[in-house]
Amino acid sequence: MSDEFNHELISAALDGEHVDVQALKGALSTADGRDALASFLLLRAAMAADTMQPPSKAVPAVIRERGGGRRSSFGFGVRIPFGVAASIVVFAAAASFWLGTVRHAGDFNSGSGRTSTQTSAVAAQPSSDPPSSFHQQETAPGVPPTPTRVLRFTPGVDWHPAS
Amino acid sequence: MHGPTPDDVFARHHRDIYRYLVRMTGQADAAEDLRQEVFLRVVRALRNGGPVGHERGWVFSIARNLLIDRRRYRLRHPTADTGVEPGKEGTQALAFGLDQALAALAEADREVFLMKEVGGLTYGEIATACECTVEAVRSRLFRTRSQLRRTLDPLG
Repeated sequence: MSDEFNHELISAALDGEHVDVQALKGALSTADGRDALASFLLLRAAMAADTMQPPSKAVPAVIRERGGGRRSSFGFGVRIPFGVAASIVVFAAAASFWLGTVRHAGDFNSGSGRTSTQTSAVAAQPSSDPPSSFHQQETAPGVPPTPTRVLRFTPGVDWHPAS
Repeated sequence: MHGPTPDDVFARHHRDIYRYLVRMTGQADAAEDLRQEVFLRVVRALRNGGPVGHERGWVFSIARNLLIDRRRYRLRHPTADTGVEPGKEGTQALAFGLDQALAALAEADREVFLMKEVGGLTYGEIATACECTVEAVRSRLFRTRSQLRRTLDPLG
């Protein structure tokens, strides 16, 4: 066996790899083989004696902040995936918009502010009209909406013509 | 059964990962940046299912991949400082001769040697991380040790 083969055998055995025991025995029986073993062990000891230390304080906080805090969570400790949270927000916004639209239409239906004294046909609509008739009137082309409040100005009292 | 927590993985491997990265880059600052990135990726991977294979080999694979990315970036954006700089402040704490000898190794040999001597990985884990065969790892380790032996003890 060549020295190189023997030394490679010793190197692998040093690393705990499976080698032929008899071949290893033969490799270590030579002075050269034992020198190689000693050199490899010294090299390993020198590497093991490396005292270099990383700056260990900052990393765990960075990991927790950037790696562990991305999930959405509420004050009750419930963790909700980001996609679900986003869907909830979008749904809530859409529902709010829809409810606001419905309520705005309902304000017209409630008849609030119908103190008008006008005698126009539009204003004369009774407050008990069902919403459908109002909507029909509302949507009729050229027909103005029923006034909810009338402000009457008396000439000479509430206003004076410019002289 | 719960998998490892990020803190556990960090505690087990961060010192050896740092030493590996310092010896590969020759720069303590770069090694620290890379170390943080390694464990950020570990955290994300743990949230998606956990380590692939042996934990230590997996973490070293992540570190190696980041080194490759860094090398490619430096090839596209060359700077004044290139290669490993042995003996600079922050990379010592090892015998100066050995420091220089490690820096003089080919990168493929150095990474295998460091994975073995610093990471304590088996030949199989190193082969997986370095995408080579076990025989190649064995041969490369022996060649590296012989070269270091000649460099450090030329009369031996």
